[in-house]
Amino acid sequence: MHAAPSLGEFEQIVLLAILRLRDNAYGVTIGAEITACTGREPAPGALYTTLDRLEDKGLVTSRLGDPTPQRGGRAKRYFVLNSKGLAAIARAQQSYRRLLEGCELPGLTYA
Amino acid sequence: MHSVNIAEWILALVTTRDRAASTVGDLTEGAATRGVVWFWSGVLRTAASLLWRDVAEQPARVTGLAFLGLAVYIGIDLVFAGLSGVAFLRTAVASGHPLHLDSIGWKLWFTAPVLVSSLLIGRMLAHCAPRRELAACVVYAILASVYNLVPMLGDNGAFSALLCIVIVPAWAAWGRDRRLRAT
Repeated sequence: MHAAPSLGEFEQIVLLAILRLRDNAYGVTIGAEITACTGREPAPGALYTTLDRLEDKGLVTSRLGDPTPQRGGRAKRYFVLNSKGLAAIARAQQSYRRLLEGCELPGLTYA
Repeated sequence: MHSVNIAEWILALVTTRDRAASTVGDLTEGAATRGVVWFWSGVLRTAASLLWRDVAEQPARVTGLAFLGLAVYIGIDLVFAGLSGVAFLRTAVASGHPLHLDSIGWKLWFTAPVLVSSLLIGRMLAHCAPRRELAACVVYAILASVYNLVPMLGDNGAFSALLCIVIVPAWAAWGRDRRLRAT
C-alpha cells in the first residue's frame, strides 16, 4: 500500500486555490487567487514548479484549453483536483484543525 | 513574437513542450499589465526553479552522473597529456631546439581534449539522464569548472572552464531537443 503523499504549506495553498476556482483554474487565475486570499504574490517559478509537482504526484489533473490571441496563441492549462488530491488536502486540513483545537489565536476561535 | 519563442525554448529545456507553452502563455498574459521585465524575470526564475527541482528530486543520480562525466574528462585529459609529452620529446629531439608552446598549433592541441570531452560528455549525460539532461550537465559544468580553475587539480585555465560551461549544456540541450522532436 502506498503512503499518502504529504503536503507542504504552499502545496496546500495551491490546492485550495484550485478548489476555489473550480473550472477556471490556470496559472494566472491561481496566482491571482492566492494573492487575493493570502496577500502574498507567489513567484512564477514557485507556482509552476508546484503545479508540475502536484500533477506528478497525481493530486491534480490538467487539460489544455483553446489557444487565445492575447496569450500569443498558446493554450491555457486548466487544473482540477482529483479524488486523491481532495483526500490529501482534506487530511492535511484536518491535521491543522486538530492542532488548533483548544488554541487561542487572535481573531480565531476553535472549540 | 520571436522573443516569446525563445522563452518557450528555454522552458522546454527543463519541462515538457506543452507545459512550457502554457507557462509562456500565462506569462504573456501577465506581461500585458506588468511589462517585459516581469515576463523575462518570470521565465528565468521558472526555468531556474524547474532545473533545481530536477537536481533536488534525484540528487544522488544527478551528482553521480556529473562525477562520472568528470572522471571521463580527467581520463581524456590524462591521455592527451601523455600524448603531448611524447609529441614534445619527438619534436624537440627532431628539431634540436626548445619548443614554443605558445604557438597557435600547440594552443589548438591543448584545447582539443576539452572540446572532445565536452562533446562526448554532453552526449553521454543526455543519453543517461533523459528528462534531466540539463540538470546533470549544469552540475557537471560546475565540477569541471572547479577542476579547470583550481591550481593543483586540472589547472587548464578559464578558457577550458568556459568551454565546458558552454559546450556541455548546449550539446545536451540539442540532444534533448532532438529527442523531443522525435517523440
